[in-house]
Amino acid sequence: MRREYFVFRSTRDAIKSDRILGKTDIKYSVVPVPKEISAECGMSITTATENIERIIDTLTENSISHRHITL
Amino acid sequence: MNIEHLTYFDNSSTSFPKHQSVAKAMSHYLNCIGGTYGRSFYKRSIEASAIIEDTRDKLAELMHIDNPENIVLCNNATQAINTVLKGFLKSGDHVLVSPLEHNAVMRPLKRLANNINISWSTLPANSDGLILVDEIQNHITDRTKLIIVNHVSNVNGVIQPVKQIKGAAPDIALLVDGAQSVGKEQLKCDMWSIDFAVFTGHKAIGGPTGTGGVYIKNINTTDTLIEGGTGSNSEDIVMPDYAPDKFMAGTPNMVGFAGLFAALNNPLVYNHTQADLTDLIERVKSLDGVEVICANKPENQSSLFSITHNSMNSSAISAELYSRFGVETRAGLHCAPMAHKYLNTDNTGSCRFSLSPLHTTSDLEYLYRAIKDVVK
Repeated sequence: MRREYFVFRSTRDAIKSDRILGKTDIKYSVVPVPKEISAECGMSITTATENIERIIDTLTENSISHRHITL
Repeated sequence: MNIEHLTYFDNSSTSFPKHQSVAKAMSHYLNCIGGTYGRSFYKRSIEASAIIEDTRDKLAELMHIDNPENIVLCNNATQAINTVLKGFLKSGDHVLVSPLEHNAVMRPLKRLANNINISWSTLPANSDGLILVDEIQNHITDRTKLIIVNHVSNVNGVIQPVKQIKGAAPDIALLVDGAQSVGKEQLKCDMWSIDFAVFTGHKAIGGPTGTGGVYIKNINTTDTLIEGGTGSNSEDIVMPDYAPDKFMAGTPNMVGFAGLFAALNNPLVYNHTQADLTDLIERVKSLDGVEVICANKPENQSSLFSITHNSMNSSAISAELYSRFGVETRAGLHCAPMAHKYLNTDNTGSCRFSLSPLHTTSDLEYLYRAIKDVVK
């Protein structure tokens, strides 16, 4: 099944993203960064494909640097 | 112990009492949250990470900083100062320091002088150590890279005009040691173009020990003091080069920062005024044999001062105040031999009184009467 991930370079960016997205009605989950993306030990955000555009818009509006990856 | 008065007058060493929310937050973290900063995805880790980032945001508000991510959190002001001095200065650099610097600055500088040929000289100042802003330019050389100013002296409480100091030397980086000031004196970092601003959590802010940090305006100017795990960019053995992770090696003091966040949200309300402090100082000045070590002008006076006596040494004064009145003070050189030398108290040291916002006028009266009785 196709999944969408957003990864962040710092914990601060991940926390800020969770805070901001938590105030919207967008459905997402905080999960470990998938091993396919990196050996990262921190947090990423996963969501369904239909939410991608809104999440990108929200993060961009709030100047949070992020990477969007589809697996 | 006197139960009618708040007799703790050593708030420049560490503040006491703390707001009750501080211990509650620390207990709550230990008993209910757990988890640590940026190491995993589950709720405990997210809550722990949020404590750190919320603390950073509150500190940015307090210190008027536009980019909270440039606030480096560490264990204390000393570690923060070491981060700047050892990460920013290079071989052969010259530094200007105020005459009232603490050993947290002077000892790292001495080591750098020995190891990489750093040199320093002292800024021009009044008899109380207040820097003469108009004369700063005369002391800058072509090798001067940094000016260091103790915002509030931990010996005489003089408040330095850091805004004007930066204005007088805009091309030289300025490090403000705010260990005694942040939390009680105004520091507008970005508005005043401060390059480095050091703070501690356990003094005027009212948080627990083991918390401190530094604002670094441009993190590209400063190398790391320590390296290690950050919870980010883990596939690379090189430290991240972006804020705040560049300076976040190792697990932070989660319990401490939980307490610091509570303190930032619950600043203590003042039970006395600046005029009460001025009145106390003036009355102590009038006592026979006592010399008060303080700012020349009341408007430059923060909430601490020292005394010497013409026949009693500072240790004896401090011991008598405690044994007879329960008044807790600090005697000696206060880890600031350079300041004492400048103030001509290096042979005697001084007995220091540092106030809490919670002290009432009645507490100040009690202190005055105790000093009067001890030195008579």
